[in-house]
Amino acid sequence: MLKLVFAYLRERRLTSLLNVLLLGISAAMLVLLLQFARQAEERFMRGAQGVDLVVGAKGSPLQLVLSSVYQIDKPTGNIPFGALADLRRNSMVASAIPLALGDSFGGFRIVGTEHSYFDLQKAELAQGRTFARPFEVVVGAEMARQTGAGLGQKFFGSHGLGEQEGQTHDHIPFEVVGILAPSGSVADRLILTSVESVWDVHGIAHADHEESRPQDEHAHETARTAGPGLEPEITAILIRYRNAAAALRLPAMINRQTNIQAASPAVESTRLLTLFDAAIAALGLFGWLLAATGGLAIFAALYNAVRSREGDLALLRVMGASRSFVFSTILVEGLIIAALGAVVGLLFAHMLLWGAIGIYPSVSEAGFAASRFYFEELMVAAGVIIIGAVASALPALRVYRTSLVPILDAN
Amino acid sequence: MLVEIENVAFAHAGVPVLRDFNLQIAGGQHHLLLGPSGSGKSTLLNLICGFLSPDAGVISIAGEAISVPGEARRDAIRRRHIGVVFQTLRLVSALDLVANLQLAARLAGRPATRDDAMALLDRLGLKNKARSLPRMLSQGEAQRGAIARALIARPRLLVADEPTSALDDRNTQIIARLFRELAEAEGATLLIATHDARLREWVPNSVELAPTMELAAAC
Repeated sequence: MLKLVFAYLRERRLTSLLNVLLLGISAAMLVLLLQFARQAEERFMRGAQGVDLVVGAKGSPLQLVLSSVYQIDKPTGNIPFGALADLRRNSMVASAIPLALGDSFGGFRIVGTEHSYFDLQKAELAQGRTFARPFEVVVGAEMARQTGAGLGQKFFGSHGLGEQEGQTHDHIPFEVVGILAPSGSVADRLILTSVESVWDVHGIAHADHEESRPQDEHAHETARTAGPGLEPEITAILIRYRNAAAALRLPAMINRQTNIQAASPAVESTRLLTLFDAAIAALGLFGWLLAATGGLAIFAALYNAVRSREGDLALLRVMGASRSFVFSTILVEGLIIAALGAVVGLLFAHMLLWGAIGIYPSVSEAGFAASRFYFEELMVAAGVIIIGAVASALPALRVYRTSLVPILDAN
Repeated sequence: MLVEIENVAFAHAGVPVLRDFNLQIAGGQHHLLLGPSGSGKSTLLNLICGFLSPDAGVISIAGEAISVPGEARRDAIRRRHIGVVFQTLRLVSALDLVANLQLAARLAGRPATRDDAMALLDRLGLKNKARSLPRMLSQGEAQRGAIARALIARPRLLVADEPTSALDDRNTQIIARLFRELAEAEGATLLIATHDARLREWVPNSVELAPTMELAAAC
């Protein structure tokens, strides 16, 4: 039977190819949507791991979370450095990691932070050591790969975060002392240094950052009041709760203050993903409509084929083929087109993703990978095949019900 | 008897086509079913092949009643015993000649190797056309191909409906001779429904069907 089916497919090769492509495009669109939705969701979830609360300047809570947890938006502003010590003194806080943003190099953000940030991102050193002195930096794996940064290399940071870099701080260079192993986290694309280095670059006087810990309140006060006019500030603080009760009390307590706000990455991510899901669902509907159009194309093609093949199908019955055999030849033909469409769609989607990663830096920066495969892709393939089966079953049923004698009489 | 038709009646849309019709054909005998259009030749062939069921009477092929209800049973009897050649419905359009023969043999439950198919095509002078699609064949070649397709499964009864109507004299002679020779070589009984009197030369036995749709003759 397969030999016969493939012969018919060859006979109508252009129509068959167009139907395969139509279904393939719809399957590719659905798989791409799935890939984007799942990979974005995974990235959001992974990025927020270990961070219960973000504290930063007043503004959009979502912007605060995006800029400090995911490093993909501009910060809402800066907050006094003293807020870090205040929070560390709070019994509801298990850990508080400061982030000082503002500069970048080659599109990669320079983040002033502490060593505990490495643990948060599960980032390990592949080469060198961690930063110990001012202007020493550890760079992420992706940053090192794209810029070719190596140990001992020096560079000047520029004001601004990525897209529009501003004035270059060419008075003091940063030096690469460590390179991180790929971790799949935002750290892959960051340049990490001490908070003091960020202050020093901007000429902000300060005391030793480590002195801002609660046990050294004096030093903290010194840091706040030192300098000719620019006070030490940080951009955000990543908080981990000590207990579940903190989730109820700490954000409210922080938000009562006039100059800082607390935002929950879980809440903001869910809010964003809800909006994202709605868009994905709408596009998904479009994808399935496209697949249904492919099904209609198969139906139309097979329906016409059945009409033009009436004699052949009657001859098969004369030769002893059962109605089921003839029915199956049409059904299998539709199924082969649909299955090829599904396979082409899957391959096409992964190739497009691979191409997009190579061509568009933003896709690459968002951490998308072309080689990731999700079980739901098989569901998309199965859906496309079912559409093909339904579309071909109708003409096949017509053949099944056709009476032989009128066709024989006509021939 | 290979073909036994007893008291068969058949009406189309209430109009009698055959009434109380009887015919017996022994194995190895060849017959023409002669008569003008509307005389019931094709209807009789459709009944013999099991494409239609009679309103009354019994039709048996090699002792198996093909006139009883049950399409699967009729298909099976046809597969086992009958090869059919039509005027224009000759070969499956998407398959080349040799693939047509192999498919016919497989559907009949008597798989044929490519060598078997090629040998038969050789006997019909079509060896060099084995890989040709039906649309690439001339009328005569296509009809010879149809005969090969019908014979590959070694049927006991070879039935043809107006096999030469579309052919010129030369091709009619070739086809008629081939029908006769191959049927005899394969031990098949030949039954040809036609209004083409040119075939009398090759198939002397005939059954005349009258346009009155009544029984005209019985053997």
